[in-house]
Amino acid sequence: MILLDTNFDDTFARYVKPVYLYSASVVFILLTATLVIATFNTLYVKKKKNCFKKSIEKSLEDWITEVIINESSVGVAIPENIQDLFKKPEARQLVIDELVRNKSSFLGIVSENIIKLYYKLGLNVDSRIKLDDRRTHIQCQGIHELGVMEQKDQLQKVYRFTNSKDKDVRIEAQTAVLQWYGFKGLRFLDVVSYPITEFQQLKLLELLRQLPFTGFSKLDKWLTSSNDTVVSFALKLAEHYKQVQVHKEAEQCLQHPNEAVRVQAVKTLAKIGDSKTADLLTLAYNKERFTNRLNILKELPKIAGDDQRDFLIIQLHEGHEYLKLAAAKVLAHCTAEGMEILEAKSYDTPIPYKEIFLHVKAEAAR
Amino acid sequence: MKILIAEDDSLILKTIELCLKRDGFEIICCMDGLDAMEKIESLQPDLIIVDIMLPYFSGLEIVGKVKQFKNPIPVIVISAMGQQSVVEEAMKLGADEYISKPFNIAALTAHIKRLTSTEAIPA
Repeated sequence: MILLDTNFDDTFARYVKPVYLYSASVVFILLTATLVIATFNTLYVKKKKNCFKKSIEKSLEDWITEVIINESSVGVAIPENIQDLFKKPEARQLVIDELVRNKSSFLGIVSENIIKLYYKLGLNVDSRIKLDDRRTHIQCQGIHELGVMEQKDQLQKVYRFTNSKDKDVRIEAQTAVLQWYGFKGLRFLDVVSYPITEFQQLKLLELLRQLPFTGFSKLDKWLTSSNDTVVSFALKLAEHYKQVQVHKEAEQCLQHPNEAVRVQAVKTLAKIGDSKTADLLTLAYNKERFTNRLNILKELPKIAGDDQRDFLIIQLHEGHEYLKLAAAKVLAHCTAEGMEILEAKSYDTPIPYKEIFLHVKAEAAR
Repeated sequence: MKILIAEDDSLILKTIELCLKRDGFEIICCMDGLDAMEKIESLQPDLIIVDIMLPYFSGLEIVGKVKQFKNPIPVIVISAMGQQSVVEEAMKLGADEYISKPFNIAALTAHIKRLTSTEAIPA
């Protein structure tokens, strides 16, 4: 122990000399000073940018508003001070941002005037240039601006981005094409090879919801696409717009290797199915795993009847408790003597059927 | 006819303000809910146009407060796309009309004229 202590003292004395400590302190002080200067510099630059933005925002805002509410804004003159401002890229971007934001809020003459102003100021060129940028967030910004500003002449370029390898660029491009051409814009589904995420599918459905329905040209083809997410999305379209003519193709999706597609196929068929659909779903049930079994039982109340009674009674005895409860709900809801069957079962085998019966009964009373 | 507009986006606020001023209305502008509440109490507008999303007090809170007044002021709620449930809540609270973005200024003016003319009948 003493030997160890002596060795440590020697090593400490050899390396930790006052001159080294002095050097280390100097380095530390220099580093801290550099850090402080860099922080202040960043803050200064940010503040300067902000001040510039605020100083031009007011004058630009007043002028933009005057122009866009004016019914004859075609021949509007650009004041000299505004023309000078437009030489600065920051100012041009600020105007694009303001116009895009305002365009999303208004319809009618104001909306038309915003587009005219965007053209007149040549801001469409700025947006177009962004499409050629290598940074994907800039590409997204350009596509978004062109989309909102209804620059349909850019279709060819934007359409290529609907199958971009970058997810965000794809989303922006698909959204833009739909904004311009509504249901016809869905033709990108013919070629898209990258996945359409669940979020994007919801976004597209929401966008379509606000447009007048004009039909689908190739829904049957999309249902047999090699891209699983296209099949899923096509099934959602068939469900939301009750496209009964693709009933056969939707039925085939029950055999799809991707479980997510099969889950959606069940939901779609429950909406567009015919008298044989309930039997089809009960047949598919046996080949399915837990998630889609539960899904089938949740969808059956929309289409099941007395013909499914035997199937439901079997499910009441088999599998997970959740599946038993789901089967009990369908039995009570869709068959003539379902509730009586459940009640008798609750007396025969109180665990777990009494609880299931009381649950279903309470739900039915609501 | 005094109309109070509460909208936190300055450009949208200015656009609505100028359009309505052109139609002969006197406009009071607010960019947050607190300012709106203060001006509603002090300036007693004849109609209120309020965006749902506002700092400090939301559009819903303003509708709720205004509708508790002895003489409730008509309120038009401006909502963004996909805020259907919030719009329903606003209507339950007593909002007289709603308009969803994107909207036509002409439609907004029509709502204003309808509400103010209805309001004029009892007086």
